[in-house]
Amino acid sequence: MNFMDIKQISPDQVVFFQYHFITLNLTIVFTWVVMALLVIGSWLVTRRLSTEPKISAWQNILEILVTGIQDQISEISRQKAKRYMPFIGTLFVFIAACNLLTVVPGYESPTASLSTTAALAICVFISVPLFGIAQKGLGSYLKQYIQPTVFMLPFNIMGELSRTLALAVRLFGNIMSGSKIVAILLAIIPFVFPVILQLLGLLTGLIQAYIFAVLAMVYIASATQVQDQTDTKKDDNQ
Amino acid sequence: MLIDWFTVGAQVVNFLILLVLLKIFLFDRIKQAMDQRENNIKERFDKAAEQEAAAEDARKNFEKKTQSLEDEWAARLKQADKDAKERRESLIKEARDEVDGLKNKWQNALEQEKASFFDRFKKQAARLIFDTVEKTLSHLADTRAQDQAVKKFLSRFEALDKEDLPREVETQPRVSTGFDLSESQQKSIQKTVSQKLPDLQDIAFDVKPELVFGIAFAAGGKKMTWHAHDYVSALEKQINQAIESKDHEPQQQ
Repeated sequence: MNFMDIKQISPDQVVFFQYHFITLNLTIVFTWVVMALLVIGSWLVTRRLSTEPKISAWQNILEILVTGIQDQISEISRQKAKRYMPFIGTLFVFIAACNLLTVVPGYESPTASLSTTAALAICVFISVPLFGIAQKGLGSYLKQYIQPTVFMLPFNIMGELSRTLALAVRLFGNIMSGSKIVAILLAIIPFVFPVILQLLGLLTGLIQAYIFAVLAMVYIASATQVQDQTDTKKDDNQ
Repeated sequence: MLIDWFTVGAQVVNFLILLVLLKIFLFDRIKQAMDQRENNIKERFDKAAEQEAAAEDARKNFEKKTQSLEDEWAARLKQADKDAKERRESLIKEARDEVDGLKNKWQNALEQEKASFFDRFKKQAARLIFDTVEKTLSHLADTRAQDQAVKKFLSRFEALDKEDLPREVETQPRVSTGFDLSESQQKSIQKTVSQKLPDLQDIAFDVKPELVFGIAFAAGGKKMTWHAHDYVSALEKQINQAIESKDHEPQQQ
């Protein structure tokens, strides 16, 4: 069962319900499906967590996932991972789940929609100043836009916008193109080759989730780094 | 258009909801479980470390007590050995002293018995010799030993030099004999003494059995004795030597 035909680029174009500007499209529906899977799966696994050394396989997988994300955050930011863990972790888990589920027939990844990737990029775009201001204060955060000179202000703002756009487009382009290539190849060569490309798409999807999460963390870390270095110097002096 | 702004907004909301839900149902719980497990393991390690430390303390305490007991045991053994040696030496000394005491006592008793024996021997021997001589002289020579003794005394007294005689004559002279003197013998003695010492008072005569047939003259602080003690003493000496040489001979099995 396919909800999209080859001519439709984005799952946004598959609309189930519309009332004025309110639309219920395929992107939102599959997003809810992914959300439901993630939340229910998490709830099922975490409702009976063991605090003993012997743990279940699912708990072990989730702990490996959480520990891996935590280590990546710590490595990139050189800060404690606790503050950024829910945001970066949710980004990675959501994008990875969206991309990995493409192996399910009829499924269309929400990340193949520019609206989804743009929404995620906007979340990153908003979170960067929020974390920065929370960490450094408003004045200190805004001051970095006029560094090293005030003439750099438009370039810094443009840089912020362009990297947000790049985040959205990169993820959208990779996932959308991957799914389209598989769809085209299925029409041309219906055996074996599309399966290989589908597997490659899984890898690409996982890498894209990683890249998105890492870049988000890099942007946040760059917004909080100066204060952190100051703190480190203060700690060293004490 | 590729971007549907309602969808963008909806996805932002969806993402924020997912963020909250995953934070609640995934990250926080997993993190909490991991922290809890880490704490449990840490507590176990701490407990194990405490138990190890307690065991180590107990081991050291035990070793210390064992060492203390061994030291005490060694000290007591040493003290007991020392006490036993001292006790042994003390007992040996006591035994030796007792043996020496008994030996001395026995020797003293022996000496006393010996002295008593020889004293009795001397008296009896002298008496026996005197009786034998008396009988022999009486039967064979028709004379008495005591007469000969008085005679000999008188001749010896007469032969005394002036220096040997007593100079003081104020005190009463005394003649002691081991036998009874007859009146004639007393007179002859008185006469002979008076001739030698004219100023001397009358002589007092008495009998002392221990002299046997000896005669003793005492006057003016001087005492002259003629008796058979020397002979008896020589006999006693010979007998004594004979006994001692008999004692010193090795006993034959």
